[in-house]
Amino acid sequence: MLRTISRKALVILALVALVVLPTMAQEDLIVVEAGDDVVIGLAAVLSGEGLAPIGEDIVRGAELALVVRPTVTVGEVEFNVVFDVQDDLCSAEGGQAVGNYFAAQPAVIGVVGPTCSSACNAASTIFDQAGMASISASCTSPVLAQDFETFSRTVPSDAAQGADAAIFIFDYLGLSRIATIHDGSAYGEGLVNVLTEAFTALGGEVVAADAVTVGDTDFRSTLDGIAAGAPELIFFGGFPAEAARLAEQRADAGLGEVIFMGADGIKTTEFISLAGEVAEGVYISSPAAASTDAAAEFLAAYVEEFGIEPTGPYNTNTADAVNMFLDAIEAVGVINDDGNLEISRAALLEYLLAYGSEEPVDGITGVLSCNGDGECLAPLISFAIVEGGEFVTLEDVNVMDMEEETEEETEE
Amino acid sequence: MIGKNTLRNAAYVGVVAILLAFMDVYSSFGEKDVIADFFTLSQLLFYATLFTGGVVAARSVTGRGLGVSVLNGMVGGALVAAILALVVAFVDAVPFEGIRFVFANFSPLEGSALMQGQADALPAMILLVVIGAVVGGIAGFIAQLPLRIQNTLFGTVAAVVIIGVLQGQINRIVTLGDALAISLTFFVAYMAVKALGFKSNLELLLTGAGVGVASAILFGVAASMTGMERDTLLRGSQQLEPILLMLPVVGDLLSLLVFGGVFVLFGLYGAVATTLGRQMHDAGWYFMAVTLALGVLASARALDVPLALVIFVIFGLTFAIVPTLSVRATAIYESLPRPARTVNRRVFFVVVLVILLVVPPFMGASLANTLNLVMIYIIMGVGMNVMIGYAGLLDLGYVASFAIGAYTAGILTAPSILTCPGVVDQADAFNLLRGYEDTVLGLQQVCPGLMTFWQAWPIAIFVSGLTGMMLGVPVMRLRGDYLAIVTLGFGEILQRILISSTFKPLFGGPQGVGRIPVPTLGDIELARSTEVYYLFLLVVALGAVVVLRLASSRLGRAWRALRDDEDVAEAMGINTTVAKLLAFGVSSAFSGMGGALFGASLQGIFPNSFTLLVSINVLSLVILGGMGGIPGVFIGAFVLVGMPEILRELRDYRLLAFGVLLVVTMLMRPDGLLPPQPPKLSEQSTAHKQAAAGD
Amino acid sequence: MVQTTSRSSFLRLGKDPIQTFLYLAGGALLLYVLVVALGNVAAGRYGLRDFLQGIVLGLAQGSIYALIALGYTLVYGVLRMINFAHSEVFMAGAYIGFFAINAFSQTPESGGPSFLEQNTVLALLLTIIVGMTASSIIAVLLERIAYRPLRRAPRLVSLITAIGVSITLQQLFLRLFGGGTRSYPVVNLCFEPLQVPDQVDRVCGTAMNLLQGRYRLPIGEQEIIVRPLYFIVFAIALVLMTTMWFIVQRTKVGKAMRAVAEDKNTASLMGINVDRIIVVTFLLGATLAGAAAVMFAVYNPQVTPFMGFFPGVKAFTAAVLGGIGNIPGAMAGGLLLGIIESAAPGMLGIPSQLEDVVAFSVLVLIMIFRPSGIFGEALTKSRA
Repeated sequence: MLRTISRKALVILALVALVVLPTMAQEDLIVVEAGDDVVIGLAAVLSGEGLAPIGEDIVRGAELALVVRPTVTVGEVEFNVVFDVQDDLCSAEGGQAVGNYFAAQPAVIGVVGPTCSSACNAASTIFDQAGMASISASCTSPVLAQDFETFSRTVPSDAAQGADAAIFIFDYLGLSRIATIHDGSAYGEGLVNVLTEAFTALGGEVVAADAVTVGDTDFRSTLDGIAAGAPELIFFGGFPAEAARLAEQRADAGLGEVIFMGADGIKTTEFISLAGEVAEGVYISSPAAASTDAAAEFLAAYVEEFGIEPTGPYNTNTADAVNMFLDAIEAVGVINDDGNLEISRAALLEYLLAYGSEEPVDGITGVLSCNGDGECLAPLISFAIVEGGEFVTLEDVNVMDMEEETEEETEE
Repeated sequence: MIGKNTLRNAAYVGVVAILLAFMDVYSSFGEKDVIADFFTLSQLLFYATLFTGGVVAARSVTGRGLGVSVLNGMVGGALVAAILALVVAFVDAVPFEGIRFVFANFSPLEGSALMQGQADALPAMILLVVIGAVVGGIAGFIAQLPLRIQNTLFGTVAAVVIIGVLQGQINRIVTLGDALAISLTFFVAYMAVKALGFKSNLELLLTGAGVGVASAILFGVAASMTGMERDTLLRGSQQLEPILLMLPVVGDLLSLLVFGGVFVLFGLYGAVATTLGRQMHDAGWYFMAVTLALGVLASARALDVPLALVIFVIFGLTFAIVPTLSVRATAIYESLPRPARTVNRRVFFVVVLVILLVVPPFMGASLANTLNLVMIYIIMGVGMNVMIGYAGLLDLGYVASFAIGAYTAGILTAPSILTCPGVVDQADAFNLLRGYEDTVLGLQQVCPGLMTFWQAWPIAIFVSGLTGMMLGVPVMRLRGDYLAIVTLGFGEILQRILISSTFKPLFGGPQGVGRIPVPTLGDIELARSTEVYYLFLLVVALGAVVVLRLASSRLGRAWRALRDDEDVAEAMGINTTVAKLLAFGVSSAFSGMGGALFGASLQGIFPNSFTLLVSINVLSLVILGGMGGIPGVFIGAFVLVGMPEILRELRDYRLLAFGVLLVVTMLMRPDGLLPPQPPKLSEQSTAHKQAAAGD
Repeated sequence: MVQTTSRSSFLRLGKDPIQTFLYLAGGALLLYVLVVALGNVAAGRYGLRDFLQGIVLGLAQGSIYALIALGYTLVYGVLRMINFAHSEVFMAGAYIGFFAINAFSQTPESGGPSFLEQNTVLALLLTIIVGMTASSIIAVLLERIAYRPLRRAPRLVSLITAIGVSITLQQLFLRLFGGGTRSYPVVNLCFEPLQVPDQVDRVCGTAMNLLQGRYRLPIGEQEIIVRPLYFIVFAIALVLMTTMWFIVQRTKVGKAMRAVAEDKNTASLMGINVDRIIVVTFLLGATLAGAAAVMFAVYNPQVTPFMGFFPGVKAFTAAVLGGIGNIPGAMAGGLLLGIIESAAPGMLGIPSQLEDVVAFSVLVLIMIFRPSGIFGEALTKSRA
């Protein structure tokens, strides 16, 4: 008897449990008691193949931002700020896990991160439900900002960078035959897709396209296949390890004289140290710095603080994201009657989405001015070339002008 | 006096300590409090190392008296400490950049547990050795205590430490009020039965129910009248609402019924527990102890010394008295007539199921998410178990059917090339920037997927089962390791195809399939992990039932015969081809079922989720759990998938801990954690039936 | 695994419907591939130059696969166990080798050229020896701690332990030495006796740069690009593999290994120390892996804790391809796999992103026709 009852009862109970038992909705109000720390979530890839250095660099960037500005002051009360660092594994499952983790922490104000677009996608689904603001310093997949309400980023989307890179190659370098390679990551492929479309639209030709696998090291046959199309430039969307091997091995396929170009993913000292001499002459696109001084100062502070050169490209973007949060807390936080800090999630989100929209803020990476969707870094792309083991920014490139010129030409 | 192996064994621990030191564990967890203002994780690891040295040394001289044991423990602890002191000296002498070049994670010694608060190397080194000797001596003393006391002590300390380490994740599960209400009901019912004694099993059940009703009324009145749930102590300092005690405050009939039901159930369990088998009896006590401890933890912001002591006492008492109670309960249980035993067992299972059904709101999104992940792996493990446990086929490409299930369901339910070719392409990055934003915003409305999740799910299961069978055809003649490598090849081939640009229009390339709608149940969207949980629970239950039925069917016996000896099985008249293909099909179908759910719960699929590591994880959990049994799969999945998630606090060291754990478990329990009982009777009948089927 | 000889025999057509179907399907696939390849050749999309270039590029990679594959094959032949952690043994060799070669490349404080620049050959040899030693130590420890206690346990248990060890080693190196990629220094080695007057090297001038030089070799109208390094790696690998073959076939230890492979119990009754022989087996495999690792890192100068995975999986595939447990089979399998990877995608006109798909498809095809590898399994001659 018990058996038949229990079967029916269980189905009913499951439904009852769904309806009756209150689900822990994220409360809109975050309360930080006087004397407690303000907690910001930080999701970065800390383990996993090849990407750990990028994640560690993001964590260092965030920590450095706090070294410069360790507290927030709301109504003359000072609060210490700390991070809750979690590993997002650079995967959808990892993003889901950290998303749920942070959504369940009532004290977490907002989240800086995650690192990879797949993780951002999964985490943002959860953040949207919880009303938790997140600012990624490295998720570049174009659709993210439109698809999610709580998502912002301090890194240009692939759309901006790829399109400008195409113009740069076509107009500044004056090349019309390129080959593209990506690393099979959402970042690399997305970037290459945009570049390909933009470049063909300009009238150029992508003579060969291929992809490599992350973690592999021998790309000679890939390059040999590409050599058949006799490209004038190879554009690579991916990260330093593969970029360095491609740059080096292109000589083995007879492409030694062909220009190699990458994007912000490889704008790290790690790329130069890995590629050595073959890094010379490599072109790189990346978000334009607001002032070279701020970036240089930050780099110097980084080396001073951690004793190493940055191991990834996103430390400045992360610092910008942290600063956005700190500004937001100071702007929307109020001290209540008990002397505790109260922050409304909705107000915080609103502030972040409109951050710098009226009066652009000079960040470390570039000019911060959110467009309301969550694209916070003004889409200004700069270009650099590696010379003497350093990235030298090409000051004479102005993509905006070139773009206009091109449009005029097509109109004619 | 000093044992022959003392120094050698302690030196092994010392080598591990050197590795740990250069991995920076003794300083990188310096910020992480286990017990607030008292003990950090780095210190804990440091003392644990010395303690291990002491225990290992003392165990080398077992049975030679307390004095010798303590002395050897001291020597062992001091030796490990001395080795660590050498590390300090080395770091002090060598330029830091040099060390940092080789050991990239190493950080300066200031603030490290190795310095013990000293500024200079020399005093720190001396202090280290002294501490080592003391800790080792204590270890030597403890190693000499009776085994039962040792176990209780280690268990209690371990429980407190685990709670301390994980407090960030578990401090919001249950308020002290709820915890007290539940555990007191259980405890009173248990004690009432013990005190009153009972003549019939019915009386026992009535007592339990009576205690349940009584405490429901008591707590209900207390909660709604006195505002007990608003009390700061019971409410905890985390602005946490008690869930159970809020029900009478809400006051509608349904809530009151649920409220009363929970209490009656726990009262019943308390009463029945006095006459249950060992595992079912102990589970109740440990559950109550954990609930109470979590309640205590939730009453403060962080685990401090007094709270740690309370939790220590809770677990200490539980570990000390439960074994004794357990023996008695088992004795009574065995003496009961069969129907009464069945009733009691069912009460237990109903309690377990009810707990499973009502936990999600308690544990919150994060733990629910972990559990969901565990359940996905349970589903896959159950399927893999068919392959390897029943049929003895080693499959390293299991992830392929997982991916096929996920992609089939994803492509069918999300806006895709099937429903709106062109529009999806236009959503592509470049067009977005050029002013086509609207296509994305309304994409799900403009061109919804072909079907709902519920329609796509069976198709996904069918497709993955079918492809599993088709992949089974070419490898039919392969055995053992050849099968393993070829299936591994299948998995890799599929992953490369999913990611490749050639098939991008269908599979989305590296961008995967996005905007997958969540399953809906009437008006309820199963979007949160606490809601999807129920779906997973249902699937796991169904899966387990299906596989158990299959295992005892003719097909199941054919599989086992196949595993034991293929040639004999064939000679017995089993159609090995069909049996093998069905094994491939069934296990792939399970995997596909999990895959479809996986995609829906993530609301998007990315090809980098489907790596060889998934196959390896599933294989490992099946073997770790004990091949061939369903309970083993559950345990294996919890240990292998749940643990790394829960070990989040160990940050970047968690995969290392995971690897070590896997090796150590396999070395200590080669048969797995829960090896299935050999089914002696059924083996005989198998032989009979096979002989009968032979004609 | 018992593999009856009748099963692996080639001519069982007609006796078994599934087998017939597989032969037909496999044959059809082969035919299709052939047609596509010939079509590409006829259309001029693929020619002799591409083929030769493919072979040259596959040579070094294939040799490295073969060296690692030998480690899998030896252990499998003797213990019937897939040593999943072998790829980490390989990684360890490359890592420790890095610290050695990095030390050699430091310029002395007094100034002047570094040891590496002064005695390049000696420094490289020492690096290889360091790598071999490191790999061997790791492998022996591995056997002692993780595998020996499980000698009598079911095979799957040691497989899982091996996987656990593999994860542990990867993470241990990651935590100890950091996740950053480290690269071997660029080493030039000028070989004066060989002069290439028409193609001047940046460092060596007209002398041949054995390690870094790239030379154009005319093939009819076109030319392929060749690095002497490819052939050096191939030659060293060949020497090492032949040595291994000699040890297993001609020495007393080899005889003992074959005896243990045949039957552990009988071997121990014959007075063979089984434990010692198993250690020797691990040692031999690891030595080759260590040498392969250093050559790999000179060839693709990049070292990470995860570097073992790809070569490991490929080498394992190669071992199975050639017939696991079979030493010449592993050599041939490795070379074949390397060449297929570099030559086949171009021949079939598909992006080389799918090179792994081709490689594994070849494996599946071969398994259909030769279920125990091209050369059949067996470290020993006969197997019950």
